[in-house]
Amino acid sequence: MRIIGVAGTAKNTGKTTTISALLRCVSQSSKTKVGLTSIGYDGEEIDNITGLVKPRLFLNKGNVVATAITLINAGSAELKIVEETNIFTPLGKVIIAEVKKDGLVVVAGPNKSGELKRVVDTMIEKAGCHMVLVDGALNRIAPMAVTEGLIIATGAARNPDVAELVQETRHICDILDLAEAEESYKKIASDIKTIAVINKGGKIDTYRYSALIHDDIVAELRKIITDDARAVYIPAAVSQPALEKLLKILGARLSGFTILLHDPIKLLVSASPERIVRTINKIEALKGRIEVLKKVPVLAVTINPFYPRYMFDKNIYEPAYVDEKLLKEEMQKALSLPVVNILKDGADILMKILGF
Amino acid sequence: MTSQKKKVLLAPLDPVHDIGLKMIKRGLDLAGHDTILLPPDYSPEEIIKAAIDNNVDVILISRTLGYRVAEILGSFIDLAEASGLRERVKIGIGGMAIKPELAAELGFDAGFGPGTTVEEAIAFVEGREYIEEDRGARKTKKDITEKYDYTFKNKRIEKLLNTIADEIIEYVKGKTTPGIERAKIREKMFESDDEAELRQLRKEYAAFCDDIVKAYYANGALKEKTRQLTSEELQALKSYLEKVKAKMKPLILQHIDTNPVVFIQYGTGCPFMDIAHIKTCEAWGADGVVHFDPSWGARTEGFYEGFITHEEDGSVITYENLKLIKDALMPSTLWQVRAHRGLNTPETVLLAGKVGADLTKINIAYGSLGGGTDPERLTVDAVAAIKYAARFKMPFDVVTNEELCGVPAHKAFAGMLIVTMLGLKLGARPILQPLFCYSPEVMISGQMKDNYIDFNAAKIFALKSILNAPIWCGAPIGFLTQTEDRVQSSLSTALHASLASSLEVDGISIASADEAYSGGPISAAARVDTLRATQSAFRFFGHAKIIPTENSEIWASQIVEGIERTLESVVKNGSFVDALYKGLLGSREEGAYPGRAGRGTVKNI
Repeated sequence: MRIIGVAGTAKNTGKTTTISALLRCVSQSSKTKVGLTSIGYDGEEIDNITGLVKPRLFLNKGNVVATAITLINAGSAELKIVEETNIFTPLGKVIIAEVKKDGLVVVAGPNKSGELKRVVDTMIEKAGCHMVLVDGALNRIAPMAVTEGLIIATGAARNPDVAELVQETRHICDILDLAEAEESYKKIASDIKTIAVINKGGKIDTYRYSALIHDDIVAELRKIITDDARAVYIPAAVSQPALEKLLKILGARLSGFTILLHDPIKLLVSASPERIVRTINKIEALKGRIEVLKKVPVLAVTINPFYPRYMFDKNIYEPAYVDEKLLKEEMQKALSLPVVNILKDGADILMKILGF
Repeated sequence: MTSQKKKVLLAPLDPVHDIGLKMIKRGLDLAGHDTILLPPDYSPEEIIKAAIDNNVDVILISRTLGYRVAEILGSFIDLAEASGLRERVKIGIGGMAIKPELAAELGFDAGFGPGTTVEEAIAFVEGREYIEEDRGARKTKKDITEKYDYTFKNKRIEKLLNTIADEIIEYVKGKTTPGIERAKIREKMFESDDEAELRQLRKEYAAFCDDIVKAYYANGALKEKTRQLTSEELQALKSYLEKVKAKMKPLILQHIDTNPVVFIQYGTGCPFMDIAHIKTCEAWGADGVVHFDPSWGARTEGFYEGFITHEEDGSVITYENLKLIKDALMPSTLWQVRAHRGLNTPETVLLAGKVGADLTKINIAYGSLGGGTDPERLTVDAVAAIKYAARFKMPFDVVTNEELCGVPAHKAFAGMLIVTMLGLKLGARPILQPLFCYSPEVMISGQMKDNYIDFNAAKIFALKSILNAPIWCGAPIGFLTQTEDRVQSSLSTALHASLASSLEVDGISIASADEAYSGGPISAAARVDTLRATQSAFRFFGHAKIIPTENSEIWASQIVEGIERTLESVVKNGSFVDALYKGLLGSREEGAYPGRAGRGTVKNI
């Protein structure tokens, strides 16, 4: 597995700590050349949104980073540009650089799926990376669809109520674990760029939108769903309220009907995981199916018991913690995935899962 | 229309605010692009659908950051990405709290924060690189004496001043002082590059110095606590300046042409720290900076040499220290080195001129009645100093801070006008510097009981009725109206700045918001306070005027009459120097005490 994304469910859930720990593990093996990029802005000293101190990103000599050109001297690492891309960010053009002298880096790389894919491919093919780590960004998971595996970083900063946090994490993992569609559907859908209705006998009716995100789009779609319809393929985003509306329209026809998505992230971006899972359960209860062309496997969940607690009287945040043991036990009970507290357990387990 | 026509969706992802987008829409329309402005309060899904339905090339979102808004914007971008928009549609975000780093974090293609121009947004839409205007280049150095011919409207006062100034010039003939001799030796040092000669000149120089300075020339010893900057510190200063200069984008304080230039005062005791304060003030719009030297320096015969730091009461004047500061300034920044009150007046003006200062400060009356220097000594020194100022083409202001001791305005102004006339006769370009604040005289006499406007206006009206000369209000404006509350101090400074501007003066000196009550070094943030407040005040008033009550005209006439009476008494007395000792330009009862430093040091050649 070469392209690994790390997505955080909120600020301070341990996303950058997880990446740092992986980088530390990799640095112990001189054989593995690692690439690092971010779909947000990472490695800075103070968080842009909360103003809190953040963990830094340290890269060893020989490793590779893709970041905005204006940040090339923002850290202490000495970087040598190996490739200048034509991809722009608010902080300038994305460059791919090799670390010439160990040190800290500040990373703001490509932030769109297509551009991320191009950069990551270059890092692997041209810069010779064995593995590329993609640092996520607040509330943005969509570009992670191009990764080959995802590590979810969650913790008390997302919700200090352990039961609720565990339930939400399970829902996220359930959504990302939606069943893969059968090959025949994959074949049909692979060339379709807009919403399409797949009818009995293989006849396909396409529709001008590619995302199902608004009631009006669903209302129009209704006109091309006939009794012959067997499946509907939605290549772009699906909002949970629009999906609910579609279920209403399909009614009893949902039995045996398949809703095909390109990947689970297209659904995950639309609403709270709880509401999405409720809708998925409804589809299954009505004997319908919701499947994806491409899975984004969740490799592990990292947990962080820390959360910044706001002190109203002093107008500052102070560090606070939930019961780490309880959090880990409950999370492990709910998930059939490795659950790791990076600060306590280290990143060795993750490295094993990644095959290093 | 400079590029291909674009279709732009402007969407306020905000319950209320869309004014920024309306301004950008107008700019885009004028540039020939197709624009669609959505009303506020659309959901992300509705905005994305509108973008798809209209097949737009660019989406511009506006949002004032607030609670959870970063999450909302991140989710919006995520939905846009998952909806397949990002590969063909560029998305920019604008709002009060947006910075490029935040835009990158949230996944936008560009971020437009406060101060963004419409042109910048158009460049983004058109896919052009936006070349920011070099505001530093737009700032030019202003000669505030340029438009003045110094003609006297009040002929009576002109005649009296002529008599007094001629008497002073006659008085100083054939006289010299240790200060004048040191300046002459220093000048020879500038001209020599022969080490043996320089050693000899230093010996001669030391002979005219007080013991504390003699010790330096004998064995390098400096006054306690002070020390030379190390080579590491000088190297650090160089690299600091390189970094600061590379990112300098100075604000411009003036809103209209007639807003005065704004000076700040520095004198932390450390040249490095001074430069940090200067660069901060330049960045926030200061047009000029005034060097404050320590008061012991004014009372001590002679200057040190080298990069001297850690003085606790102003920044030590040496050629090297001044050169460090000069090299750090923006080309547009006016720089004044004060020489008004001490025993090193001629040499200070010489050093300032050699280093390249734009302005200096000389006033015999203030220096000897409020500044502690013997009247005769300062009179002889000041004539020599004014000649240097004329030679280096450095205008000098004639400050009237003796009012802060309690001397009435008309007497302080009489002294100022005498030095002004002296300057004109010696070929220099003087600047009138009336005190523009709450002074002891008005505290006692009650001219500011109702407002701070009338009496300050009266002073300007009086001076303008006498002669056509530049006016620089000081020093600093609004002094003694500030409190330890930085907001109050900033507002008071800004209001005084507005009044000065309304009276069409040429320059003002402002204090930081914590200057009066800092209890130690003033802070850079407090400097920004008053600069920003002044800029806002200039913007607020524009060409609108502040109208004083009829009292200002009455008091202006009284000031002019008082000046005339004072000048008559000096003429009648026959000797200007003697008039200073006698208190004709400010008496002991009024708080003016003829200074003692340098008494008995004037020699006949």
